[in-house]
Amino acid sequence: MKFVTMCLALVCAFGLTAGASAQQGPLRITIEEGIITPLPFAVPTFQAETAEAGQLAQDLVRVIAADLQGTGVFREIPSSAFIAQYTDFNAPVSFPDWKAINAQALVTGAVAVTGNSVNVKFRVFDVVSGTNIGEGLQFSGTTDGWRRMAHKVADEVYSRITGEGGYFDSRVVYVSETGPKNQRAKRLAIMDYDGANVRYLTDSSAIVLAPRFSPTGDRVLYTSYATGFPRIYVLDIGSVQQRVLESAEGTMSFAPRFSPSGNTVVYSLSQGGNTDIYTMDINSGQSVRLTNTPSIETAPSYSPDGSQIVFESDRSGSPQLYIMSAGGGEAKRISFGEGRYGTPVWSPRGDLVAFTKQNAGRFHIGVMRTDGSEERLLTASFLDEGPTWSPNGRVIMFTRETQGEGGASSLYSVDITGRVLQRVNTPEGGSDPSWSPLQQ
Amino acid sequence: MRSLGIISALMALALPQIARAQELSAAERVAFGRSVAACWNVQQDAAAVTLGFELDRAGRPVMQSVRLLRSGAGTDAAIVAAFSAAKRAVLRCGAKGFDLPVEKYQQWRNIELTFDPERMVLR
Repeated sequence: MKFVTMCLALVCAFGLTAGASAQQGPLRITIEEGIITPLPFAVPTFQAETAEAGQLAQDLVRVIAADLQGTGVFREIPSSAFIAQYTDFNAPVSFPDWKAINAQALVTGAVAVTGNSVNVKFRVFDVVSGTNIGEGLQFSGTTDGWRRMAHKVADEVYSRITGEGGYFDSRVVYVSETGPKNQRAKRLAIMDYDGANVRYLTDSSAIVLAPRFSPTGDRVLYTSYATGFPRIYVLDIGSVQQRVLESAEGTMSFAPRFSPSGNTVVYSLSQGGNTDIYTMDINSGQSVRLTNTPSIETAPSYSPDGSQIVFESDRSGSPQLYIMSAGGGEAKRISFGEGRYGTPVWSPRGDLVAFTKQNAGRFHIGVMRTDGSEERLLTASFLDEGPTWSPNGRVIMFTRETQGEGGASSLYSVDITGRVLQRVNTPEGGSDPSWSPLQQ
Repeated sequence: MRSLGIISALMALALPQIARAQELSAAERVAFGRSVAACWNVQQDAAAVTLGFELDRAGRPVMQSVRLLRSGAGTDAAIVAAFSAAKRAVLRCGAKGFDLPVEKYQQWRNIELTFDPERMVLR
């Protein structure tokens, strides 16, 4: 019996020693809980390399800072807190001065203006480690396009620090609204993502709805009531030329959206009181019916790979979200929460579906996984609807309408955490936004 | 002979007690992890990365020693960004030295820290 006890003791001793011996290697720890706070950055006014560049250097920096700050991922440190005087793009960076004000990232740059030409160069630094983040980069353009250059710089900074594509050098097409609620004039407008450079694409002689960008950002689909009934048009943004996509007489077509290839349009067609989903080859005009049910099927949106379509249907008795193959066939319901779901839009990353939800007298913009799991509501108001994704799938823009006779529509954006909700400044009211891909 | 065997066994039992005394306690490990996490600014859907680095006796990271050992799935840009964020966390929170017991320096001189954001995603 004693022999057994001694053996057990030795075995235990060996096991523990081996364990202790393993501790002579590096200390291994896994961290799963961090913080989500905006990263403090500094962007001093760029060096003006020519006399004409002074104002532009300030303007560029204001746009870059606003882009980054607006993501909620970054927090700008005001220039009043700066210790270092930044005057020379090629001078060594005094990291202790930037560390002292708790900057973690630093963007420096220089601008040269010659006649109508602008050259912007910049560098991004990790202040904590005192190193460059990537190589210096420069963009050239014209003075008219200075905002785009600022957005491109901001996209590059965002991408280098987060590892994701940016979304600042993009545009939004939307319905501009003026006049009282019961007699509102609507026309298509296009603007930079931040509300700058608004340009009107149609007049307000006919009601227009639901503009949708093509995958290359050069065309827009929309629904117009020019004939008294809804019909789908395609508009070339460069030439502002438009043409109707023909559909059978006596039918109404609406809710169009491009396929990822840009060659096909998926849309709703109403005939004899029934609404189903169809596709149309945009060149030949040949259409294919995808659903055939007595219920209302609408608001189709392709997955980024073009293989599936998410759409809204009331086949279960109330509007819910469904996914089917891009060729049609059996659909699978993905929304099961309380309330009514509509206007689903597949994320460009492919991982989420954004939607409008109405429940208990309130409207919400929300997201869920494509299998319907992990539903999260990002907003709540009297009326929020019509989400559209930023090119990188991190931000959603939508329409918010205020209550009452004087209620007005405005554009808002929210990031997918729901933490950063912002109004998008437009000269008039706005609704039905559609976000373009990043510009080429 | 029998008593000699018992002494051997007791010595064997005592050795791991000495080794364990030099190890960081669970509380010390958790406190260290938390002190780094306090500076780890997580991006949505960031890649998981494992950093290796050395600490000096004052608990300060030796900057040149910070290196990427392993990474999870992600694009090159996502991994570089995740590595940079993890490195910033180590350097920022360790700038004044992590609070670690100096008598156990050999236990925490070399560190492997895995930053795994999966549980934080979409919250």
